[in-house]
Amino acid sequence: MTSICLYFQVHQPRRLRRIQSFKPPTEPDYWDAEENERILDRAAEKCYLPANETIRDLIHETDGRFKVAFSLSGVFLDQARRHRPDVLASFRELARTGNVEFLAETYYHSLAGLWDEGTEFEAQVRRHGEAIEREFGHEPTVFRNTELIYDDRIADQVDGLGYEAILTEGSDRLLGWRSPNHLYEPQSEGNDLSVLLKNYQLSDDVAFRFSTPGWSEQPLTADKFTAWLDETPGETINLFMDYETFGEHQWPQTGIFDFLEALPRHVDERSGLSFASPSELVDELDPVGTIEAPQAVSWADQERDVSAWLHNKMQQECFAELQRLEPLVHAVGDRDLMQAWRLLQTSDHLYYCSTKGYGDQEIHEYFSPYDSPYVAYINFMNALGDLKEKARRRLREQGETEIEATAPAQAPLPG
Amino acid sequence: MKVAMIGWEFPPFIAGGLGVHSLELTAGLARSGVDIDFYMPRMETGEDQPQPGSHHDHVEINEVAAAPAESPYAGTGGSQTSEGAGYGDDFNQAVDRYNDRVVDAFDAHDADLLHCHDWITVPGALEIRRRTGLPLVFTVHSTEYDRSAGLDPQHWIETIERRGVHEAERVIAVSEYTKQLVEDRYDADPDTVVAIHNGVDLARWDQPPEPRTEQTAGTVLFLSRLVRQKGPLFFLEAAERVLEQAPQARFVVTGKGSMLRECLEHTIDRGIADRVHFTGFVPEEELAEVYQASDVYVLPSVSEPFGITVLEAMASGVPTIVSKTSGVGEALDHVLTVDFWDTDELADLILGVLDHEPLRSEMRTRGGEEVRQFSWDDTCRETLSVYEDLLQETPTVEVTAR
Repeated sequence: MTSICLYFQVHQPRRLRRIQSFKPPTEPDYWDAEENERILDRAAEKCYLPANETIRDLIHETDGRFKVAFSLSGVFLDQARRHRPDVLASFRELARTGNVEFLAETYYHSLAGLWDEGTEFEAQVRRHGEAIEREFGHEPTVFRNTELIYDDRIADQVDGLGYEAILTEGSDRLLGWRSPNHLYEPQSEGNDLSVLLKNYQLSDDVAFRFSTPGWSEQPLTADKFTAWLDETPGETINLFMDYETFGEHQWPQTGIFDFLEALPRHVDERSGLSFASPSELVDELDPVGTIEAPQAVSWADQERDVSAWLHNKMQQECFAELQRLEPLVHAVGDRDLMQAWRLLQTSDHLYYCSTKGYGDQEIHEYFSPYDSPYVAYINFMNALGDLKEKARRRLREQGETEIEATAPAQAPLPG
Repeated sequence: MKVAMIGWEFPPFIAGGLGVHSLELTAGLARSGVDIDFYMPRMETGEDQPQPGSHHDHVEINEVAAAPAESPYAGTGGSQTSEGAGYGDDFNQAVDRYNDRVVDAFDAHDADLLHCHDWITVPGALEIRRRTGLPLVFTVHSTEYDRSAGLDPQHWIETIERRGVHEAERVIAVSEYTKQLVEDRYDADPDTVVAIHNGVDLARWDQPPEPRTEQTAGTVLFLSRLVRQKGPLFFLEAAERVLEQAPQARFVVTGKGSMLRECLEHTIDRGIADRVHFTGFVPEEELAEVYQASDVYVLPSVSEPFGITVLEAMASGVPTIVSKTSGVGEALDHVLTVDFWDTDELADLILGVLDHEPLRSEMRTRGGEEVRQFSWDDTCRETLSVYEDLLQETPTVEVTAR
């Protein structure tokens, strides 16, 4: 019996409005509310609502044999709560079926897991776990980090926070010749996590290649796909993807909803296949080996590492500056500034600054609200610079000795 | 193949991109085995002036007197706009006379086709075409709309451009932007208009950066003619904004033009004269140094058909900000673009570049790679394709006696 584990990521960043350095806003309100609402509306109409409805119907039709898992980022939850409560209601309805599992992540969909020091990762994960419990009635036991970023250290931190399992990319670097279709465990002693690895070949067939013109396997029908699943050896086939695959990245005319609707029926017809949630896999299966990840992997870009967010100096500077502000933001203790700093940690902001060449660059541009990665960087640094300025001013007002961040202020002018 | 080419500028007598284009195009075509007769006005400014053709033996240069004791290059360095101070009728007359004399001086010499550059050469080219039956290629390096910055284009020039666009067998535009303009404003038949980008001579610009001293920290460069088309006042307004945040920044304005005085007065009125340095016209051999000494190059043109200086800046490793209404911008990823009128945005982009070394570094590296796509070899190859295409269509003509 081979399990099929479906996991969908649901996330929307708080996109920045244009911040010019000489026009600082009075409040640390850096967000383009109108644009973010417009995009949330679009995603709701094209994806979240119709896909949720489809899944709900499938769960009923299969008497609960169909199961899926979601992660909903805190940043998404905030926006949905404020602007599209109907979408949250729709997820709650799914939760009530008992067949939908919600996973934990960093509240702000951030890269804090990669920070060398500090408590930010833990704070964000705890906050997210609490939010999921409040929203859906149960605390998550399975974790996935932002964009499935995983390394040995993250594995240890997540284990330390009490989770049972973690999801990541079944990258060749982790597996070598081995198959992603089993459970693994982290190499470090005493780490009890189970690691679920995405089968990227089959996942990307749906998420990316489904409507790629000229792909030899088109059209990808549920029938054909299920036949592939049936022929695939292993204990579990982990199909992890962005939820917006359904309706946004793959438009309805591609047949993606028909595919989803037909999938459970075809799986039902094959005695060797059934759906499972991540928790069920953890209960039913034993790890068959260990994985080592001294360098982080992720599900992004061709390299499936962290280069999507950190390959160039601009991104590295954003990443470093965010960390440098941690002591200052904590010292000030202002909720609005803390919130703004955390929203700036959302990985998307760095993603928009990527200057990779062809292939990956097109994908980055598709998601980016900016004309260019250079404007993305300037805008981000203007926001961060303003945050820093406000934090310092607040600190002075509070009469505190100024806590100097670990690096000097903005780089001096060239020369 | 033999081409009779009618031009206006040729090094060392150049004012802008046209001269550079003429040199590179003729050199490249000659390397591909094309014979070229090049007609240009004779420079009448003095005895010790170098002669064109003396440096360039790949092409047969025929200098045609533009007018006795009147040089079309006098004053603002060969401005193609009638905005040139003190030109007015003199310039127009110089153009008329040049065209008349080209027609008289023309000798087909087994030419297979004619190629003329910009409106200045159109009347003569059309007349020669009429007399000889040779097919005509017309390259539009700029339009009257560009040069007038959309204000008050001179109708008689537009009429000439329209005629050229309609009567030439082929029109080459230096960018998609210009091709679109020509189609929109002159109803050109899109099938006869081809966009061919200019190139850049990388070897000339790719030099190690100059070591910086304290005084040259944060230098912002404007390197264009001081005419309305090039947006110098937008540059200065942005400069003022930048200086409010970064008082140590320095602005360098090179070039001559009818707006020089207005620009100078503007900087004095706004109290920024001490941070804005007007260098005057910089001779070709010194341009590389000027780029090297800059931290950011800005081309805020109201309407720029191509913008070779952008490529020069990028090849020199200088992060560049370009107006969105420019031809070169359409093909570049590793520049910052801005609406020429949005001086706040321009100021913020300048500040962004000056403040952040990671940004400068990335733009320098990526820009330096990207600019390699622009080669004069490609320009020449694509131009040659236009010629070959045209000659395949056109039946061989008997060149009628003049």
